[in-house]
Amino acid sequence: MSDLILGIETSCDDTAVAVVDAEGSVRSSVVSSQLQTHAAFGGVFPEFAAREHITNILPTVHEALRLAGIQPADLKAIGVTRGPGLIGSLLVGLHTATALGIGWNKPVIGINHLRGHLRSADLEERRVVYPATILMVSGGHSLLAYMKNETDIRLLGSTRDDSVGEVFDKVGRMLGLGYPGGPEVDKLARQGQANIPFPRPLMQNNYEFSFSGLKSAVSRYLAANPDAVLADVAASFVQAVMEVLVKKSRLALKKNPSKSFLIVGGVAANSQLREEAARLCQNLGVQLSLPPVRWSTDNGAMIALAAFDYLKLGIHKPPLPQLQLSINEF
Amino acid sequence: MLTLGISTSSNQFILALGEDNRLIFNSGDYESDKDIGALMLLALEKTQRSVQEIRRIVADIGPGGTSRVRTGVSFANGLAFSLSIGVCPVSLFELTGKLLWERHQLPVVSTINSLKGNAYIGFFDEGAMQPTRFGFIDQILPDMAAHLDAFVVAGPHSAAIQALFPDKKIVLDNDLAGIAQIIMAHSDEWAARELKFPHIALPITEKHFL
Repeated sequence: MSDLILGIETSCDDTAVAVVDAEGSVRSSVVSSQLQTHAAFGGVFPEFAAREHITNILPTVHEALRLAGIQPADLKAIGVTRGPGLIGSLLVGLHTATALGIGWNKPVIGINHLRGHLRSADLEERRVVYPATILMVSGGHSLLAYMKNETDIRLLGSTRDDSVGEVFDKVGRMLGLGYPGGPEVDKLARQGQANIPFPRPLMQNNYEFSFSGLKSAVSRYLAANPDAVLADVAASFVQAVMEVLVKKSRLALKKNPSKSFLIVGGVAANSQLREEAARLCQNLGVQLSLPPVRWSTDNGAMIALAAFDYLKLGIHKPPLPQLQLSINEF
Repeated sequence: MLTLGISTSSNQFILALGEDNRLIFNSGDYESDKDIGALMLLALEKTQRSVQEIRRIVADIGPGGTSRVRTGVSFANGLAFSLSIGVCPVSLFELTGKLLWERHQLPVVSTINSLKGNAYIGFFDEGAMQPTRFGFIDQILPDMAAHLDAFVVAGPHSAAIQALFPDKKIVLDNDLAGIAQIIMAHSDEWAARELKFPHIALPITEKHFL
């Protein structure tokens, strides 16, 4: 038996399956996207997400095994996201994984999706030097955490309301940029001037975020200024978000001695965030660890790599859904 | 031949094992929760059988609570894939129809709630399942049951159906104990429907009717 784990991720709208070894080498990674299904709704429609997962999950498992060139007998275990996430989506992944585990006689470990994201930076190459400060920014999560090592994690602060990715998508929709709006907002922002004084929420010295007020401010500005230059709106919005993220990250890095600064989650693909983070790390003399864009968004490989941590620590969480999980939890 | 039956559309999850159409395990006989994986392991333990011996899976594909149906169908599909066998899909209405027909020898109307006042309506008559309908009870049932003198009603719309047909004999019966026996007794007739990967069983949703 090889030292390989099958990782299954269905917490939101992507059906993702991968085969990974203990060193983080990715033997295969397949993602079945539902982007087209949800584009018409301007966001993920949970019921339709669950339906698509049922249709997509076995072909995705089959393809991941085929691309890895392995048989189920070659697997050491199956890791599957147990939460946080959408209940219908989680159920499909968890029950499929449970059944595969029984049929193949393999252990099935429920994995905290957030811990998967944290480990995404070490896929294919060791990029993280510990201790590390992590900024997780995605459609579902915005938080800062401190990692002494791969498994010892302390939450510093998270969002009180919307996540960064969610606000990017909603502002993208306000600007008529379709779904997902994040990458398009990023592109449009590069063509404009950041000349609109949008609020920078919760700028006092703590690690918490709040983005819903900023989102509302953009909405109010567009309603009051129908002839607004959209590129300027995008640039001003992005600058406001970046200032918040960078200020909180700087505070976290100063108060929590870190050898590296890690940014994970879909918004880690944002070019302006990458540039700002590079500047910040240069100023502070900290190594910047960025996973390649393809590991920033939801994928099965990060779940498989996190599953190795669970095995190493002897932690066996049952494959049952947990809608809410903190990053401190397994 | 070992047959696995899974029905999760209704409130009580049912997992059954049968050998040559004879029921050898019924999760309804045990204090069981809604962890379908745990029920599967319990079934194998109690019967001292290996999962590899399962050669047929009959799975209830709804209609029913969306999360409940998905739980059973995902598990059935995953297990079938892992064992390189197929899944024989059967609707909840067919199961309740056969069960209540055999119990009362009367046609059976079964209903399940859906969104915005709509309902799924199943009609089992003359020993066979009639096409399932989707819509408002008071718009569909008067035609569907007009020719009947008496019938059985199962599901959450019993009172509404009684009110629609004050002159007919209506038997209310929501006791679905016996589904496991029905699955095993009729599994041979559903074998022809077997879906083997890359074909998979999918839950019944309103999309099938709209």
